[in-house]
Amino acid sequence: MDEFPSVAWFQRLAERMAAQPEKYRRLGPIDMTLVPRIVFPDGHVELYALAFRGHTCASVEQPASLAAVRGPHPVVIEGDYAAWRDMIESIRRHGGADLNHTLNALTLPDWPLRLAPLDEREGQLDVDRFYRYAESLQQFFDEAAAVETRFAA
Amino acid sequence: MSRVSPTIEGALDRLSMMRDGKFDLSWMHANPGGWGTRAQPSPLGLTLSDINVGPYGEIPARGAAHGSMAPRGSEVPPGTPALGSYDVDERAVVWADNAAELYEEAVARQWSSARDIPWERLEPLPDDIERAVCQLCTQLTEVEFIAGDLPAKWLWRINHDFHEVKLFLASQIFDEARHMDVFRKRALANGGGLLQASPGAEELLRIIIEAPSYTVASALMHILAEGFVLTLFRHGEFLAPTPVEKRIFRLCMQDEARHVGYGTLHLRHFLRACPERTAEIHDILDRGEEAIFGLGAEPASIEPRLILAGGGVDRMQEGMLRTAFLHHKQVEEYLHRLRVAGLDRRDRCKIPLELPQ
Repeated sequence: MDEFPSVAWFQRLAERMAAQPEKYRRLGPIDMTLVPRIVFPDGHVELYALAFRGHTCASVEQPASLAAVRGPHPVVIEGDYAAWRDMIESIRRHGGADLNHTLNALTLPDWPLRLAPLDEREGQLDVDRFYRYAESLQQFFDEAAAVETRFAA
Repeated sequence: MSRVSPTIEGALDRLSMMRDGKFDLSWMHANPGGWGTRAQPSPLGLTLSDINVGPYGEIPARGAAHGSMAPRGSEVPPGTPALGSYDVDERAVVWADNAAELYEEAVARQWSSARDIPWERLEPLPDDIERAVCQLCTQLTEVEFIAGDLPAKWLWRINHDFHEVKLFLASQIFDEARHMDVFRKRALANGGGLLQASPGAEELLRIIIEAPSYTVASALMHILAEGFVLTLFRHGEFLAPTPVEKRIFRLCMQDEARHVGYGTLHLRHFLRACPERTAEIHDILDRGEEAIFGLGAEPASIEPRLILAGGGVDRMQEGMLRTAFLHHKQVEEYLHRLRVAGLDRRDRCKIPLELPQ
């Protein structure tokens, strides 16, 4: 059982993605770096960088700061730990995101999760990639349904 | 044997010579500068960008003057007839650096409204909710194919040397065909039907279809109209009453975001090449913004979303509070895309950034 959040937990999602090449090939390629930013109740923050290339999540890293994020087209998806936990528990309960817990539904009002570009020059163009790959990214997070998860807080 | 035309007679003569073993084969030695090319596939396969190598990757500032459909990089024999239609032939007025990538992405992300939507999961909805969904679908069925008709209006005029753009626009037309069909299908699939068409929508569509040049039309359609529709698709996914609408809107979102991506980078390319034409873009966006704001306030346009957001026709004011954020986000994202493209309209935008509470 892996703890959320951790490199190992996101790596489990990446492994499940890699194990289903036909499913993700049919959904289409992805070229972006998604940066989950999780704000804990005590105020500390953890960052992860998920580098999506083609039909795989090629790497999972835990950068020390936003400035340390590498990879093209970085987009931060940030929110309180409780919101992340609520999303994952919902996915596990329903076998995938229910109507209220899709990535789009959680980010559209900028609450409880919020999208923000890291590269000011490309800005909205990078955020638009999140929309371009919406189905693939949703399926990626829906893999959490099959990942035994222990919550850190 | 009946009398044959000179063209047929010439072709028969050539075939006769071939039967006698007299072959031409001069084509085998054509285009020596382009021979020996060995494009290498990238991890996604052999993409359009991968084959843009050597002379094949040289995108001319002006499309070839022969005016034919001859492929870029081929040898064009003298006397090849022009088709007389390819008068949009400046790179500046059509190009976007992401056109090839977006075309490949579009091809890879095609979906079928018959196969990929979980229609079996439709369920009976309260009457007001079903009517709201059906009105939303009626409007989207009405407006979506403008983004098919408009590219089609210009596609046949774009020089073939810019095939990346033509292929991307062809993919967009097919995307919009699917959007038109999927919203029509949803309206007719759950006990409802099409409701009311929109005069306000037609006003906006007329401005788009009558835009005087391709780039002006693109700014209006790809960035303004499709950018706003992209947010509406996101909102549709947010409000979806069943997994069916959820999937429809999410897949449409993906398509729409590609179109917005092309428009943004095309406008950037255009403004860098032709800064003296900035006023043309501002002028058309002035008109478009007024029309789209007016459309957004039409009862048949906004009320269905208020019903869905509030959870019923008796809770529309709650719905209004719950959708207040959307307008601000829609306009901010639009202005941000324009800024990325090199156009600052923050002080000129006709649409108020904030609505009265």
